Amino acid sequence: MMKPLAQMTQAEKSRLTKHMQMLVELEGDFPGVLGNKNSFFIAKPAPRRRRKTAKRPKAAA
Amino acid sequence: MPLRFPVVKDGQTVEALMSFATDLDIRAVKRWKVSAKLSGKPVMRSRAADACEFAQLAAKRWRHYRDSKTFATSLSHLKRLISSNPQGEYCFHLKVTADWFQGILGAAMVRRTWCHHLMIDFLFVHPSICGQLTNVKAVGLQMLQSACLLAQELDCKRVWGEATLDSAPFYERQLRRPVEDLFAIEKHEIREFAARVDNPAAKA
Repeated sequence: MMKPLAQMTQAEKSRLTKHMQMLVELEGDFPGVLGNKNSFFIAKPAPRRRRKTAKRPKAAA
Repeated sequence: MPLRFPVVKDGQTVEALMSFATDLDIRAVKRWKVSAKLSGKPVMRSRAADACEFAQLAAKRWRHYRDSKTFATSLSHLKRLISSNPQGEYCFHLKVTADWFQGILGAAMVRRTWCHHLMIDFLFVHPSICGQLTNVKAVGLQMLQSACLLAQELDCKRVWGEATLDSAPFYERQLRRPVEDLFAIEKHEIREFAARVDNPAAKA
């Protein structure tokens, strides 16, 4: 677990700043989302529709 | 968990926290909206709209796992589910928060598959961040790396997911190899990614 920033020494902070520069570069132009919204893997079976029962003819009064 | 990691806000290193998401968190990200300030920036607007759509799709999937009681709300809960049925498929959502940001900075829907791999279904950052209205960097990468840290903790041998035309270059940069529509982060890479988030530059 990372040490809280407030508890870091100056040397640790500068090491962290360097590390973060590397991460930001590595992230590059991140599109903001990962995954595929059209994925087969996330598809789930369509809900089954209940069959409507046939209406019974009303009995003549 | 929660896991503290650094991100960059307006060029400064700041702290963020990643933890398992709850019902309320999932409802909150589902309400994300694209800012009207992005109306003149079609590319950024489309990215922000994607983030909102992904959040809604993740919430929809979450309902399915919630109803089938295969949804974990903490690491110990996930471990309990796995030990109760080692070949079960379980889902969890991760969220990133910070005291300097109102709401949730980003979230991910992850599945632990029957063969003990982690699959990243959706990972998305707040629409104002992907629309570049808020200058925050490294949230997405830190979330991916944190998922690897979790995989390491669970002793999973692979983290995988689908790459799209837009996200493949991102994975290629991380993995330093060509990526097509499917990417896999293998055990040795999981260790490397986990070590990056469990930052050696400033360990407690």
